[in-house]
Amino acid sequence: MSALAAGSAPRDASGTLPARALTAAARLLRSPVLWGPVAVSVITLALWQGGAFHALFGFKVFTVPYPDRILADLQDNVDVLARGVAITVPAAITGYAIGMVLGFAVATALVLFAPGAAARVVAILSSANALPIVALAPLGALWIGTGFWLKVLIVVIMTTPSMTVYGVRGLTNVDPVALELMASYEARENQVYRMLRVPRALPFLFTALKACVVLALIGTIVSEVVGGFEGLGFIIQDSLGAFQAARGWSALLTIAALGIGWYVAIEALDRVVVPWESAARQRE
Amino acid sequence: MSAAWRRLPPAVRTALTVVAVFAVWYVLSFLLRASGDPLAASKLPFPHEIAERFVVSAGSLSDAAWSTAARAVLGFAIGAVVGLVFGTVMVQARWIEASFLPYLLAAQMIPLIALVPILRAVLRDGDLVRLYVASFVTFVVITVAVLRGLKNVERNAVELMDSLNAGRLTTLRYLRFPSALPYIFAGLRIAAPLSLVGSILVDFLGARNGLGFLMVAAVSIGGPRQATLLWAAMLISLALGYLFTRVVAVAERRMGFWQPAYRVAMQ
Repeated sequence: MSALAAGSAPRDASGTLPARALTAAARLLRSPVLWGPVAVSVITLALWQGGAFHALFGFKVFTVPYPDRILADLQDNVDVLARGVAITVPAAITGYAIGMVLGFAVATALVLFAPGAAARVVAILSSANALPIVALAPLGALWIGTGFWLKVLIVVIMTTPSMTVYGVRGLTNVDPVALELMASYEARENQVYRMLRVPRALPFLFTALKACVVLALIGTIVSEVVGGFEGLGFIIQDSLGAFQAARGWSALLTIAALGIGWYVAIEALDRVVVPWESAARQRE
Repeated sequence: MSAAWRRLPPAVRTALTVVAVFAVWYVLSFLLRASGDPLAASKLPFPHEIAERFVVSAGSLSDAAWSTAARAVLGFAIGAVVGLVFGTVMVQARWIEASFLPYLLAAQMIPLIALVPILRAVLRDGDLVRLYVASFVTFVVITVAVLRGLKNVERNAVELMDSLNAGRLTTLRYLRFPSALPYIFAGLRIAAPLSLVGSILVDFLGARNGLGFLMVAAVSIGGPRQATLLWAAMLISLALGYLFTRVVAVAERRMGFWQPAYRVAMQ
């Protein structure tokens, strides 16, 4: 986000295109937005590879391998990791999609039909985030068995309350004056919903969509660590048990890349759907 | 029906709701058993069986709750303090913020739970892993919240402070922190249950005590008698999570009473 802001920073209207591109590139090179994170990465990796962390914290090579070992393992096991991704991702996305739709439907029903109870339900649902999903996983396995649908179920249970909470907050995040205005126009409740509440709720919905990406991955991976025998979560758990730490770390890297990629995709959608809100955030 | 319902005093309404929930629970549980499902007693035990378990296993349940919740609270506190300090430091200079922000944002997009097996292999101590996970989860959320809050200050207010020749610290104390409070509390509200979930997940992935451990033990030993232990531990976790969130919400109400959310009744 900030990198983009710096890239499209005030441009010199005069000058030829290559000249302007050069100026922008030079500005980006000088800006800490670029070299700051790179410097942090380079220093950390250099200290790690050089063994400074191992000397300082007493890490063992068989639990914390050096970066070059992890990279080598990543290359050697592309097919294993790809199979893990093919198991993990469809379950996570299915659960995520169901959870989001269901959560918003519940929020809508609450705001439209039980506005008095909405605040109380939100308070209860916020605490549902503290429900240990791992406890539900064995219970869910009793009901529907392990595998794809168990992961979907766990993800739905994890993500639905978040969407409902943000949905209710968003749909009720309406200026009282605007409500009075709508009332003075004799707007029906469904018109208020469509023209006032939903647009106001959009930024909240995207907050929930983004927050739930990581929840979906957590739910899937925990189900795999707990009761599965395939998928990325299983690979991590299995590799460390089998003293193949590098494999565990490369699975972790894969999961990290998945999480970031998925989040960035939702963020891009956010910019398209709610451009006014993204613009406000850029000015911050 | 609904008009008569609304006329009832709130306490009566709550009591009736609770009675209705238990009635439905008993009916479902009875139907499941009547259907001849051999796992019925584990899938949905009668409420009184769970209540009995609370009494019979009071000792081990409270021990487990303590070892899980204490690490979660301690980790939450450490993470919140470190996050506050780090967030404040990050706002002081553009290059510090730019250098670390991408990593903080990325940490929120990564399921940190995947780190638990690795942390356990490195630290070899369930309590330490719990503490690390709870505090790290909190730290990430709070730092970003503090950063957002401290930067989201009204321009006019900053200019006023400048015109009064207020120094950096004065502005921080009287302008930036107060206006960051809603953000910080939003972060705390998110982090409180997360620290508990983190702690329980660590239990689950190989600790030797704690609520999560009880649940796994109950399931892996199996049998309907143990299943009620799973349910009891689950209910305790839910109650703890609710308690955590309530504490944060009450603190927010006391310190941030001027926020629009508390001025305007929910429509």
